[in-house]
Amino acid sequence: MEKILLTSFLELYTLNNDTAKWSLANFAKNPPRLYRLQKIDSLMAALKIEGSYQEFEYGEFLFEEGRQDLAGFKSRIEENYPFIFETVFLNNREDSDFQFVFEVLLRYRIKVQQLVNVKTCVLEVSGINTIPLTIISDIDKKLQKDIAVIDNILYYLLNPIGINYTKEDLITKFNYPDVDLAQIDKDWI
Amino acid sequence: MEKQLLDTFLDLYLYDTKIHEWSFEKFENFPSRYYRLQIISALMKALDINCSYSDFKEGRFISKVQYNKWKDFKESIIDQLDAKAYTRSLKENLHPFDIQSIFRTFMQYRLNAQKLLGVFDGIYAANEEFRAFVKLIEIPNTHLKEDVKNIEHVLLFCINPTGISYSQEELIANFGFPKENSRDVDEDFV
Repeated sequence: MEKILLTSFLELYTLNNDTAKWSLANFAKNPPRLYRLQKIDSLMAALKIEGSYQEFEYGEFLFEEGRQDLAGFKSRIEENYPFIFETVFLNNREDSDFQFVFEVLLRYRIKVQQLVNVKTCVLEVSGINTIPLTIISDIDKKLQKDIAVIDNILYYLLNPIGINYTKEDLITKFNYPDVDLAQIDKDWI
Repeated sequence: MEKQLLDTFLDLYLYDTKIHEWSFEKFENFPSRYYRLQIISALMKALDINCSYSDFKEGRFISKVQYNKWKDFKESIIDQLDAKAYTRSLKENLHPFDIQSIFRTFMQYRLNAQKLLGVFDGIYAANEEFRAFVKLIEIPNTHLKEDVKNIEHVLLFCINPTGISYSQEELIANFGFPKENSRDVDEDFV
């Protein structure tokens, strides 16, 4: 669930980077954006993330009482990425600034998304321009492998206690859109 | 010269992404930006690139000159590159328009990559979490910096296909290259 939330957020962000203007009304006539926003709404509700999209962008939901499972977060990070703790004594701190971690990592992740998106934009403007795309795809692929670590941390911050619903549950309880986004994107172009 | 032009262009892009608005008037009260634009403008003149900054970004200065040299250029770099995709791509036959199109794509990609590489310029780095987690970002960024060099080879060739070269003194005397060095300008501004 947290994966789809992050993906939908990043995809919508590359289509419209002004989260303050995100609303179902504004996207009513643009199905690719509308359904992505519906997914985001539904998943935020299911994962108990409150606040506006702008607040989400800055990780403000992590200020919320009980949201931060410090011990769990640390042990997980330490186990998977021990090098983070090599020089910094995060271990000894009682209050870690998860909101800041989220904001920094998401900001980076957005820039990665925008870079990867160059390929798509080029394809749209000139179909014959395929020569450099193989080179770019090569770089993108390496980058995506490199940022898996970052995505994992973001996933954890989005869903620390591992909330899990089936798609059917999401549809009936959280108004999750039951649509095929790939098809919707295709029809829109 | 072409390297300094590209680097300075990327650098100024981090300050201001609206390339079509770049002008000495706009940057009048921003010495760091003004100074960078002076370098860009002087080097473009010296390299005989006579177009706007946004036309430069779009590769609209590319002509028969690049086309005629392309074959030699690609042969000169193919040996250095082991990326199969890269080699295969460069082997295909091109038209002058294709070179412009390649330049435009690579330039757009390189500008976006610059945003990634410079994503935390100017962030107050004292936050402990920041210093810890920035390590995560150093890894992809180090790889990216290395990977975009393949792209830069092509950009640099297109910018200076005939290997024009002037000394710093000549650039200052003939093309309006700024005399100060960047450290002084940036320090004064901070």
